[in-house]
Amino acid sequence: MLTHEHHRLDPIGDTSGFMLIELLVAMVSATVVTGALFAVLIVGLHQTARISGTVAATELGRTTMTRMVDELHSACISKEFEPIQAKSTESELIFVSAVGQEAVLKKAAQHKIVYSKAAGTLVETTTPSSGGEWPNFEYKGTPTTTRIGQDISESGGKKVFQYYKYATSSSTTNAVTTLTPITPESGALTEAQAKEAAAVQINYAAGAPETAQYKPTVELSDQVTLAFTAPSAETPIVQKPCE
Amino acid sequence: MMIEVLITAFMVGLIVVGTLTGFSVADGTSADQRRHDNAAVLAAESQEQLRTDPANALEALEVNPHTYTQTLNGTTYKITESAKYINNSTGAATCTAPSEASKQNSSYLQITTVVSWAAANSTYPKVEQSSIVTPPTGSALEIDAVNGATPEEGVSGLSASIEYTGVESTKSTTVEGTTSTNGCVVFGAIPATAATVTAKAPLGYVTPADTFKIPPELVTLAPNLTTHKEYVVNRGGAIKGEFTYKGESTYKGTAVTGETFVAHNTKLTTPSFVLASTAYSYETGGEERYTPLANTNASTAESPVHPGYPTGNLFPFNTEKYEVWAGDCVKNSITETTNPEKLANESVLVEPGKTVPVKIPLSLVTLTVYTGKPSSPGSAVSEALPVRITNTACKEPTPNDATAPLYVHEQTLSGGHLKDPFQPYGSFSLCVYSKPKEKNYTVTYANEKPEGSTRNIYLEATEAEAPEQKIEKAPPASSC
Repeated sequence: MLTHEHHRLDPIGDTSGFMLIELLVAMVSATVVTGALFAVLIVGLHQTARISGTVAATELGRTTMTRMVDELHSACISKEFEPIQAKSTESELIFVSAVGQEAVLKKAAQHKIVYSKAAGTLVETTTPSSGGEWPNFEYKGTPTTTRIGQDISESGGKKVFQYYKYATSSSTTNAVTTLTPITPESGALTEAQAKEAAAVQINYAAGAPETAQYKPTVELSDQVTLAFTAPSAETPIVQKPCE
Repeated sequence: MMIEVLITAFMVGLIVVGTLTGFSVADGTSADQRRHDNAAVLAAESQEQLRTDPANALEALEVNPHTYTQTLNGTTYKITESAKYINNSTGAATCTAPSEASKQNSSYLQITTVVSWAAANSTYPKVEQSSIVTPPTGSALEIDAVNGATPEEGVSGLSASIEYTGVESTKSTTVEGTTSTNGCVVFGAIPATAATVTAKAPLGYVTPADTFKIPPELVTLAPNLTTHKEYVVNRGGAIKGEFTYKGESTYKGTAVTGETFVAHNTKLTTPSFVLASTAYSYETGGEERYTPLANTNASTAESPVHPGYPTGNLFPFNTEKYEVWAGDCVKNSITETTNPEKLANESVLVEPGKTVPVKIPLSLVTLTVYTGKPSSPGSAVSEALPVRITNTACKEPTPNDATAPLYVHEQTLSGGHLKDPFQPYGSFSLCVYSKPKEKNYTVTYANEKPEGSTRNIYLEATEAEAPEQKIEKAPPASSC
């Protein structure tokens, strides 16, 4: 029940109101809240920028990877063909591939993909076949050069291109595999080594484009086995590329 | 006032905690995504590695998946690789041993990689990737292990080793596998037209030949097709026979004893019977066959039990009972005699891994050896003269998985009578040797009913005086 006193008007000159301490506390609180909100906003913006950079790097890096892998998947142009070419190195992949509907292909192309550490690029030079017969074409056509990747760097100390050949037995150090690495002699694959190359592993770190606010790198790795079927079950395993 | 300050501080605290929690959740989600992405990359790497493996290496992964760990960005991932043959027409696992319809050609190998990590959850679960591998041109061999029951079921754990020399190789290749829960294992991409198959049944399992060792066999492989090789194995059982006379285990206060009994089943490999005895020896090495031993009379006998078949070597047919009777071979079956009382053999169903009891009826042979001749028999001999009972009809064949047939049993006289007078049904030759006289006295008898036979031998008689007995002069070296 309200009393008469509660309805009484405050006398003129009443000094009651916010005290200074209350005002200060309220101000500090407001500052803290506002600061926190700004922090959230800034962190969110940075996070968005970081994610955008990662997405851009992944997108570009995977596009580059897909192009190389797709070409390598079309490298077995005939049974027991040896698509990896001599003079390939850990930063330069030379191989032959072709696509077509015919059982006996009429043309093919030689690809040379070069990783430039200084420029951070992967550049592909494609030379179409100019003569010869399937599967031993000559590649003296007019080459075209395309930059297929940029902001590329080596990933975790791994070489960009690693080559493998079939071992004579499977090993299970980690994954069950029948491949064994080929170490290029004098930096490049010899004719003999190239003939044995049955798989190529591609490793690199893709960066975000120049325009990105943040430039994270995304490590990408893929491997292509140059084979039509699994090796026969025999000891020792006798398997060549494109069998 | 203080209350406003406190409320304000509380709200600030709430906002700060909420904000930090938000950061933490966002961070956690981001980490889960990263781990999931890393797992997908590891799975893809594993798949590509598996694609390089020969068929036999992949086949081995069907029964024994390969597991390894790999650490990436501080997270340890467990990677499991497996493979199996898939039938192109059904899309299912290729083989199911008992089903005839499933015995088809294996079309391709499916390789599967599963990557898991400790923090995997329902939103970001373990990663599983599968792809197919085309086997190279070559033959395939499917080993099927079935249990021989009705309906038939597959037997897992039968290990098979196949050896062949590939067309591109000078060395022989040996591939090993073990039947899966479906009772089969497929060996694919075999670059040969013949392979030697060595199968080994799981411990305790026996074949319908009552053996636990399966001899190697050369199998011809159809080029570019799947050849099927079937093995029938099941957990062995045993029969414990209690010797009885007229249904009782004692007769006139004496225990009824015997030596051997036959466990016969028409579904067994010929000659379709196992000889159970009161004692055995076993081959060491080789096929480790059993040898039933004679001359140990006991009230019970049990079919062979060996470390290779610890629950017995009798193959358990679930629709066909074993017929059992005392004796050494099929000829001791009561149904092989004139059987005037139209008696039937005991029969029992052997269950996998179990020992089943059964009564083994015997007949009574009353033999009296006199010191005199028929006209003046004298008294029954008091010496424990040696007696040899020959189960002539059982000279062959050799029982299943035994080293040799058993058909000669020896005992002695006791008070002028057989010490162990309870004998199997069938026809026998009984020989008593008298060392002082250096003579063999032989009579024959046929047990065709429980009462058996009664025979007398007179040590002083001539053959003319006792035409039932054959007398031979025999120095100790030629005793019966």
